[in-house]
Amino acid sequence: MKIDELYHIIKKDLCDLFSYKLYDDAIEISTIHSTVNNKFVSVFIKVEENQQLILSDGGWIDEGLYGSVPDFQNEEILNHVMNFLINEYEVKSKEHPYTGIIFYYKFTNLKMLSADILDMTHFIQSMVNAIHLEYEERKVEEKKRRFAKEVKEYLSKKYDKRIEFGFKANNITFNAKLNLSKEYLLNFITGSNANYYNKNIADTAVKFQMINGQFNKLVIYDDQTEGFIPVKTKPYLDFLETKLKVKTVSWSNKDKLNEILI
Amino acid sequence: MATKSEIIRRNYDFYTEIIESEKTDQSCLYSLKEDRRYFYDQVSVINELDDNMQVHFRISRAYERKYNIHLSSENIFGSIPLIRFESSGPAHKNRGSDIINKKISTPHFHRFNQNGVEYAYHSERMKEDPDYADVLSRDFIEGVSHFYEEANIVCNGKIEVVGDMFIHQQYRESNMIFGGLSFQEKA
Repeated sequence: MKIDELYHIIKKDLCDLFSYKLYDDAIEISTIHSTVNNKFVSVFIKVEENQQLILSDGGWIDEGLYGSVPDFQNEEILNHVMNFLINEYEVKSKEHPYTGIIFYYKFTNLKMLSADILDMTHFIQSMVNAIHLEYEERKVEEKKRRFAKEVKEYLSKKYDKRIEFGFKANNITFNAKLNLSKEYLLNFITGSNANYYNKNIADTAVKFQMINGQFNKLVIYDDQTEGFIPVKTKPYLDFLETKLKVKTVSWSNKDKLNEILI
Repeated sequence: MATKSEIIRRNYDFYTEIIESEKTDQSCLYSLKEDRRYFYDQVSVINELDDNMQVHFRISRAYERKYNIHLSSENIFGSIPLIRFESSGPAHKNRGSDIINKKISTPHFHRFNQNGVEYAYHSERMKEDPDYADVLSRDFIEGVSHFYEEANIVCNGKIEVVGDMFIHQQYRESNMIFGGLSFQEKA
């Protein structure tokens, strides 16, 4: 095989991935460009009476068909990014009077059609990626809050006045301090994916190192979240245990706290 | 970032068993409620493995041919859709697939593989009959019925969907993406 044949294979394979669907008022061009959450971008073309062409996302971004739905009002950074993209790609938006769905669109003509399709595709791709990343961030925070709430409820019941939440040592805040015959500083660990999960452990490790020597250390880690992937997380937990002498207890084993703590 | 589920990965055999085992829907009736974006309802589905499963069904307010159906098992897998159907919307990209299975157009189903990663696929019937995709996007009753086949749910009777939306005959017939919206600036 000559090496330039590879180019022809790739070109044919990728061009064959383009497809279309017909609607009463438009054609959907399903492109080969995809978003971080694995959706292929579609661009809709509508032909106006004066033969002008309109390119649009078909309301799919706002309707949530690419995943999470944007919330402009509450997300300052996202709002900033989306406005930047709207300006950069010279895209307009219009709200449907009955459904309230926002359509992003731009005018084009036959001469500019393919070039503008490419721009519109990149616009939709960038918008969806920005929304998705923002959404992931929020999921991480939400996950932390929920897990902390669950653990706190459990510990309050179990230890009552012997547990203090949001305890500060050397100006560093920990999730809790437990006063048994020994004093334990305690952090809770969770995450919506392995990366966030391990970052969370790393943050805890730094905090424990900063107060080294003064307290016994304990983490309760969430082994029921999808972010907990043992092969990826085990080395981090081992590091806590062996290097920093932190006791680690998984949430499924919470009943064993009594055996572990004195 | 593909959708991943650690709980499905760890319980993959049981996950497969739940999907493959026969389940029963005793009501077969979807009585649609509405919110800002969707008409929706859910029915409960049971078998000997699990007596607390749900089929969730929703139709987009904006575009009737966009509807989703999924099966969940609240007690065991929480709100994760174990198997789901999408009638419309963007094609899905399958991570790690060859070029033939890379891009899966809608309508399509989603399931999880043994690594707990969600992937999209076309049912055997959709592969055999290229016109069936169009039937599914036009007729959500057919869609629910096909979902039941694929998810091994048996219904003791006829599947029915009722709701205020059907007052609007136009709604049943529309295949418009822009819903009559005009983009021309007024002079």
